[in-house]
Amino acid sequence: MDSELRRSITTFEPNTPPRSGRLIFRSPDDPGSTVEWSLAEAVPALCRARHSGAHPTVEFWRAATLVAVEQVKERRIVPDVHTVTGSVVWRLDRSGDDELLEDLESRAPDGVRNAREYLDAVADYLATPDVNAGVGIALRLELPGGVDALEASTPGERLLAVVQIHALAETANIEDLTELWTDGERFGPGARAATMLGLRRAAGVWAPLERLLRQQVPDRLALDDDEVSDLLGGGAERLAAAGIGLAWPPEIATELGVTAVIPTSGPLSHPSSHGRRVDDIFAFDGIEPLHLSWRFTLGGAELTQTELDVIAASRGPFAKVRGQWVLVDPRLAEKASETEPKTVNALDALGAALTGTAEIGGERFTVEPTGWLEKLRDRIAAPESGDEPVEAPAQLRATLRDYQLRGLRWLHRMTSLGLGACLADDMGLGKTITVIALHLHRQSDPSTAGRTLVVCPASLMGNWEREIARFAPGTPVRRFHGSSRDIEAVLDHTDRGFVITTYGTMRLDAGDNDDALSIAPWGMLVSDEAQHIKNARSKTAQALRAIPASARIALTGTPVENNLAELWAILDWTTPGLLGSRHQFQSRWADPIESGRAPHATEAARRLTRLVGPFLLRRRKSDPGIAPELPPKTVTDRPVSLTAEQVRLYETAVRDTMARIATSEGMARRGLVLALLTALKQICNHPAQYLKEPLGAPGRSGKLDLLDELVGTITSEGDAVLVFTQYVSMARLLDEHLGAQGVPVQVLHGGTPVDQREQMVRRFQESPDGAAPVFILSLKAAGTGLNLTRAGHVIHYDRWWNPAVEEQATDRAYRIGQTRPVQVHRLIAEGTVEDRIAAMLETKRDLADAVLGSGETALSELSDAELAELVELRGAHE
Amino acid sequence: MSELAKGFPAFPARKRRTRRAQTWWGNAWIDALEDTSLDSDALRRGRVFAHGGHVGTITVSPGRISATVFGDDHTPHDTVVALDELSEADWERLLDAIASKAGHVAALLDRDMPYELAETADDAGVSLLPGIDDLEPRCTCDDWGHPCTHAAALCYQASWLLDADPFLLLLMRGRAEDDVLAELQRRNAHPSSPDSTNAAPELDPATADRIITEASARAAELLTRLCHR
Repeated sequence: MDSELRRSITTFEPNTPPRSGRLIFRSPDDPGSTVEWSLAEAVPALCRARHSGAHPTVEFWRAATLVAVEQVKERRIVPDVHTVTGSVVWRLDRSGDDELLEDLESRAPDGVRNAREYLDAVADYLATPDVNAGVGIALRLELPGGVDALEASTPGERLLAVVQIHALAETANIEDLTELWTDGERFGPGARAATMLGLRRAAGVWAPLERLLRQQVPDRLALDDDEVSDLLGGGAERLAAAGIGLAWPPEIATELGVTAVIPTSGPLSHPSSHGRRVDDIFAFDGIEPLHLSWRFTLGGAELTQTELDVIAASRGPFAKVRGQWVLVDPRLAEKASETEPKTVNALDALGAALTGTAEIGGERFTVEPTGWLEKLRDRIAAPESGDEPVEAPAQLRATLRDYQLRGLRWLHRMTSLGLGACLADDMGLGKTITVIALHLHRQSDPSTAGRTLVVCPASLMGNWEREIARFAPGTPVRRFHGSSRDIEAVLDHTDRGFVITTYGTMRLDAGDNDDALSIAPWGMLVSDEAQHIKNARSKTAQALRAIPASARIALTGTPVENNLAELWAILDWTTPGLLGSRHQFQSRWADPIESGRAPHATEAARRLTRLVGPFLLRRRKSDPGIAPELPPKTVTDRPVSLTAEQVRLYETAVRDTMARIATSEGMARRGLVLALLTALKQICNHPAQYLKEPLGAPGRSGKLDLLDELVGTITSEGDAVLVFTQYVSMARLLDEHLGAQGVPVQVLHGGTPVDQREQMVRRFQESPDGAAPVFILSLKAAGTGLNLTRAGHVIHYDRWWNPAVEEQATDRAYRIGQTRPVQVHRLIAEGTVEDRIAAMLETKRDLADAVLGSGETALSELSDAELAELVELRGAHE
Repeated sequence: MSELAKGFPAFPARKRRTRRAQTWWGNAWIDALEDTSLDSDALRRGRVFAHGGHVGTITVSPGRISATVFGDDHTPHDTVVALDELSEADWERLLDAIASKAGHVAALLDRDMPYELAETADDAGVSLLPGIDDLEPRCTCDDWGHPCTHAAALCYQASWLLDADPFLLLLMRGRAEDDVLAELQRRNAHPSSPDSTNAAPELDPATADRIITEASARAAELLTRLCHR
């Protein structure tokens, strides 16, 4: 048993019949990963296992195995008719008063169950040979005549394949099959049958093994030269894939290898930004296809042409090079006689350079790049270790954190090479500001200066505008959105600035060459929340692909690397051709990885990581290099637009109530003012809340749409979130809405009994990542001892208009015990009273103090004109 | 421990109607039925019954298969198709012949019966598969046919069972799967072993004692060879 298994928490799963029960080893390092052993694997291995250093559960099952085996040896077993199947099964005989069994059970560690079932299962296993026992098969090739036989010019059966077997779980203890036939019980009951079955299946993989099956004892098989060639030329690989190992005779060298070499010369050319077509944003356009040739080595040393000629001339599987016999793969011999080099396009060559391998003619070869290709690989292979002298632009009104600066350098490197990139940092790490910095940096070079088009969900447009205004003041920004959108007007006002549009608008205005977004010249194209284009066949994704731009950047907070289809869709937009067509990607990467078959799957996954690594940068908040740079608490205002329905309700409420306020006084007036403020806040939240009706169709509230974006990203990051609203009715609507989407939600409000509160808090705090990730709270943050530090995010769905209250609520997540940085998102309906009061709280201290002192009643003392200014709806809305 | 009678739940009615079985031995079984019959109409109705779910639980045991088959008017009939068991001497020769090739044993373990295995049996003078007149139908119905519709239906369904598990043929011929496999492995491992079968079909005291002795030996083997004590 290897040491990881020995340290595993181990349980026994009974089954029918008892002998088919399984021991399950749960990895100590990764509880999600388990290894299952049949009794045929477990019993011999546990008998053999050493005593020390094992997990208590492993030690228990070892002791139990010994007890059971001992009992069986003493013939203390009895047959039983199985109650379900009616067939005969065996169990330990407990008729005597047996101290041994009781003693064993008294030693069971906590949590160990099914000890008796296990003992009976071992008895049943030993009494009933099981044809499905686990036996591994291997072939050892011998050279009975020694190397002298190879000198003989007459080909014949010169190699002998000796069949070997080992217990499935114990590859180290391998023995010749002859042993099993002379000493049958060595590998446990049923091993012989399992071996024959295994050989029958192996013969299906490599046909010459069928001859073994015609023998009574399938122990050895003479192979002729053609069969050896076939084995070298793919048979051995197929056998290995079927789990059958092969050992070549030590007298013959096997290290004849071939590497694909891609020689390149000249400097790495830099792209220019003009005159690119949509399809060839790749910087290597204009570079001729590259050539690929073979380099042969024996034991690491390159072969001479003369030696190659010997190999090319060898007709059989053996050749003598440098006085030594070597095995010659017929495919390799064929390459040795090739004279024409193969051609390969530049992007495929880069892929080969990054992965270190290439698939040529259905086979995989090691690839060595040289010249500029090697330099390019070295330059992009490690995204965060670039040394280019790119600093945060002077116009940027913020100090970039170190990782943001590394992100900026990387984005600059990839975009200036024309390669495109996907920045997939966790939400809150500052992807937006990094892109703004990149935009400013690009303006300093005439070859990259130009407009940037940002495509994002409608709920994020306001955020982009604000961040640009805040971090790059003076940089023009315009929305291209709404029914009266006019591309000419937008372009006139955004020289070297930003244009913000939504996926919905983009779908309408791109796709054909004469569509507004397709004709405009874009310096850089940014797809924010790029998971929106994960379905490459959708109209949205197609339209985005049709927009020409010299630099393409995808931003996403979701872990795209976990979803191969999504990964392909995003990178095939940023860097067309890198991952091949959808179909190629599926067969080359997705199929082998998703098959889960080791070692193919892990090997393919490792290669894909190397290929994709330079193009995809994902930093987690929890990364050791990132966390120390983050402030413990970051507050972000999230502006959202009102929907048309919200605008209508809002304006009606303002008009009607302001008219009544103008004609009333005293208490009546105060009541009307407060009612108006409440109505407006509810309209901003959701029309359904204001109208006291069910949620209805989607798309009625800008806030709810943004909440969906945020919650989606947070939960896909495996994080948890507290959502605060001051209205119980809104909390119920949110519960209903998120619940309908299958997001596990808990709701706590002022009326929740204390014991239930505690239960909810415990569930939230103790749930493993991914379970119960959303906690909606509707209460003033009274000191109820709510400690909700599992949440990395806090969303204030509406404003309290009292920073102290808001802060207290936030501190539920950010308090002692919180080890991770907390992100606070305040949703603010743009141009509304929410927006206005938030701004006032920041700038007008006296009003802020008044509000702080007496709450909203202070607002009822405002004059009609002041009030009108406060509640009036401004700005562009749908 | 051998199961000498195996029960199979009734086949539900099927949409796709195939006349033939999936395997060569399943088809050989059908041929034996059809070649015996003088009444192609009874065969045709038998197929309709087989596909229409008229056959109840089928029991396979040495020398016979049986089931309750329901007529058009839902009348139940006790239907049996008998097949000769092999003699002890036949079994001896058959098991020796199969055990002489590892591939035959492996094929059976894989629920496969290669044509060569039947040839090997023929060479040993044993007919594994039924031929003309080897299937003997009996039914409680008043039908004149030989076989009657009900027996034909049972035979067609039996071919489906055989497709999935050739051991059922060996069971009809007198020996249960566990027994056959144990014998084959024993003979395969000890080619010269002169003492023939002592495997009693049921779990009589002698068999139980033998199993306990074998289990005890395995346990002793494990303890002496493997354990660090």
